[in-house]
Amino acid sequence: MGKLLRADLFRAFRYKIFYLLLAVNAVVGVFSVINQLAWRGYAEVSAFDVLGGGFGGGIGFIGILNAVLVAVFIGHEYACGAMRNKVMTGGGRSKIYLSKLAVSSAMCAAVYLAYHVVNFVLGSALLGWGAHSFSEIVLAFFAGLFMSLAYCAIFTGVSMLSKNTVVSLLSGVLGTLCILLLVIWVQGELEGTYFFPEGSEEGVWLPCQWPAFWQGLARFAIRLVPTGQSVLLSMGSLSMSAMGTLIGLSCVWIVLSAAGGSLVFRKIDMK
Amino acid sequence: MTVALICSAAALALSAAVLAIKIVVMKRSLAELARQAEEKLREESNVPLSPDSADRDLCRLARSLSCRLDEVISLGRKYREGDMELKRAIADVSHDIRTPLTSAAGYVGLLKKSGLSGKQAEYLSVIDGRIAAMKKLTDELLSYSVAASDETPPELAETDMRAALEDALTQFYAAFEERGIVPAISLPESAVVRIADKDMLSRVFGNILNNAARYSGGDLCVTLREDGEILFENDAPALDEVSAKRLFDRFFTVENARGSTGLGLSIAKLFTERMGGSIGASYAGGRLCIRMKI
Amino acid sequence: MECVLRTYGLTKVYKGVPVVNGVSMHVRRGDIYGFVGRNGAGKTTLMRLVGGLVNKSGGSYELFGQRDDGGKFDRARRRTGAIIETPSVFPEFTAEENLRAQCVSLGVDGKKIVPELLEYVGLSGTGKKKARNFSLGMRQRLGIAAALVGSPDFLVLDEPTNGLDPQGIVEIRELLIRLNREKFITILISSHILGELSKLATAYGFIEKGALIKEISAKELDEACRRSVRVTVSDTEKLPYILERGLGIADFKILSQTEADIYGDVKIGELALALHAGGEELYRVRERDEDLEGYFINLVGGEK
Repeated sequence: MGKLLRADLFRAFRYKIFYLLLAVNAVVGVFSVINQLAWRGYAEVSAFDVLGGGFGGGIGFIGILNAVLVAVFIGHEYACGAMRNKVMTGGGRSKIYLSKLAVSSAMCAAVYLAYHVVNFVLGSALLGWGAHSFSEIVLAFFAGLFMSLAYCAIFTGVSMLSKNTVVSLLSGVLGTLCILLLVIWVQGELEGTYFFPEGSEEGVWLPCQWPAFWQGLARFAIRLVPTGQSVLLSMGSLSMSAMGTLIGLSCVWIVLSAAGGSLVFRKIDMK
Repeated sequence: MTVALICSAAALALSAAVLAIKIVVMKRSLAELARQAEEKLREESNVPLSPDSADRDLCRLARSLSCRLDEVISLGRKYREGDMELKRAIADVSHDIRTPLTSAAGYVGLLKKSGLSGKQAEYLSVIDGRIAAMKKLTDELLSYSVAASDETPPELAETDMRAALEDALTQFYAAFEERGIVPAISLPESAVVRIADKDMLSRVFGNILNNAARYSGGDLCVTLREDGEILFENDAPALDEVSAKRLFDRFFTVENARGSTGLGLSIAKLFTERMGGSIGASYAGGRLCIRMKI
Repeated sequence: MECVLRTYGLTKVYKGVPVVNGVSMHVRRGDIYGFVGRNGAGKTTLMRLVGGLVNKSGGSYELFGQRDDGGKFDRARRRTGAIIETPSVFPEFTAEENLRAQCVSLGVDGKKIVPELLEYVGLSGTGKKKARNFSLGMRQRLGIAAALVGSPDFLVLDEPTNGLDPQGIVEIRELLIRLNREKFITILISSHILGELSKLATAYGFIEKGALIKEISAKELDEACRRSVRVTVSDTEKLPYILERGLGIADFKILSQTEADIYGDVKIGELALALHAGGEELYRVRERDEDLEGYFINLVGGEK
């Protein structure tokens, strides 16, 4: 396994898209800080809000970055036949999968950090942390990290099993966007709507009409799916225990990919 | 203050973990290296040794060991090739010698019939005898080298050892009678079937019995056991323990017997082992015992 | 002689069709095993099975004596190198970087072996040229070099000379012969260009419609290939009568008014006498050996 890890790291360090995305995320971090500075006159802002921005709530940014990173990394290896080589020389299918998972996770974590390191340095210096406690910040940070790793685990599974760069790229990016829209819609439904009865100026707030079971399921689903997590985290209004739950649910994805993904990988046929 | 404490504790824990991992990996790599080295030599594999650990000294050890093992394997291969080439060369040379010898013998025959004086006839019969001896030697040499360099696998089939032994003994009956040897034969009631090559087996028996007929002190005991083991025992006054062990060596002859190249038993050993059997000789109390098993 | 690869009724079914159907083959150590079959006969699929790329539908196989479902099987795989369909090279790396990447992936020290291999396959002058700019022949050679990085004992090559120019084909052939003689590497090579294989192989396996119809050593093939004698006579009209009645030969083929092929062992002396007695003039006698292609067509034709 050590040799496989070293081989994947060798490629990772020479992987240009990785460095590109690092730079991109760092630059986004800088812009976020500047953006928050502009708001300073109007509302209570702090580096914590920048932290929230780093979850990509608006466009599921982190999800898309991870999808691109993982899909191209793994897909390219399939395209050149290097994956084939590793199988033929007895790398062991499970070990190959786990090694890819580990290295992809490391890269995704690095990309995630690129934004937040900028924030921790610049943001805390310029904006301060406001009213948020240290443990809250740390927990939010880790929740985001695990969300990013959950994304990575999912995309690793998809890329390894689809064996095709284009397929995994499209499904990753489009999938994230679609789920994002879905999540936003469902959330909106769960919040309830303002209903304007005829002739009246006042709006009546109507709570969600769905049966309780479906509401509960929807809420759970949003917490489970990484895109949903990113939306929740970017709103910044979660309690500590809620964030802990998110971390736990992200771990489910990671374990699912590691165990289930590697098992399925053993069974598929390769060209 | 607490932050500094926490940080240094974390750093300590981390370095301890890293060191522990490194040691575990190194130990596993050392065990792995030993196993790989043994396998590489046994299988004559080209694959170099590769430990999991990236430790520089361990890798240097692996590399150096790999190189030495490659050398050993290559030497082994060169030896086998050289040995095969030698045997083939001997076969070729024996073949080449035969032609002029046959021709010479033919002319000697012609000369014999062409009426010679007393002295001439005497000299001619000496020449005739020498040529006959050379032919015999060449034949035996050719026979050995062909057998040794022949790489075709034996045709293994279920063979009745008892019947084959009986056939061989019958063939040599006359030779034994000539020397006044009465073989004491002990065979089991039923057939003893083993997997062997029939032709090779008869040659093995032939060579052993030939040897016995020539050099036995006066008697011969042949025993075939139910488990396939065969014993050939005879009186051998001229032998001793050391010589008995060398009986199957190439070209080994006792008392420089005239007319024998000492290859007969070597051929027997070659064929026996090629069929997957074993053969050996022991000497005790003035008696030679050749033990053969398939 | 131990077997490097043994398959026992290996089967692979795609959509109800057995693409590889109960193949039991033996590749002995030190052989160059020529795997002969038409396009679509199942050669590539079998190699994919043996390489572990696709999962089998039935049967089993052994590499270096290790069963494919055993725990030590990955170690046996490590002694194998393969090129299946296209050589696996990273187009954005140079030849040297490609080999170095392969070294890292196998845990092999690259310092000595990379320049040696490049020299061995004849790519040491490529310098900074990226693999995407290589010609097909160079890429094949790089693929072989990459397969050799692990110092394998067994190479599986799927039509390595496909698409190469004659010069390239000769170079690959000589490289493979050197590998077999100098490094004692057993080679399993598939091809449908029989002429090339016949210059290389020491053993053959013939596959048709997924089934292995024959396995034979080069020596046995040589003996089995039908020998024929091509005779040029004055008039082939009377030839059948003379051959059948006079010599009892029934296996022959009339090619033209003056030429005919007679198969089997022909005693030239008797033939000449018989022809002369029958009033025929014998002008030329030429011995012809059936080549591998003829043998294969006969074999496959017989199966129809």
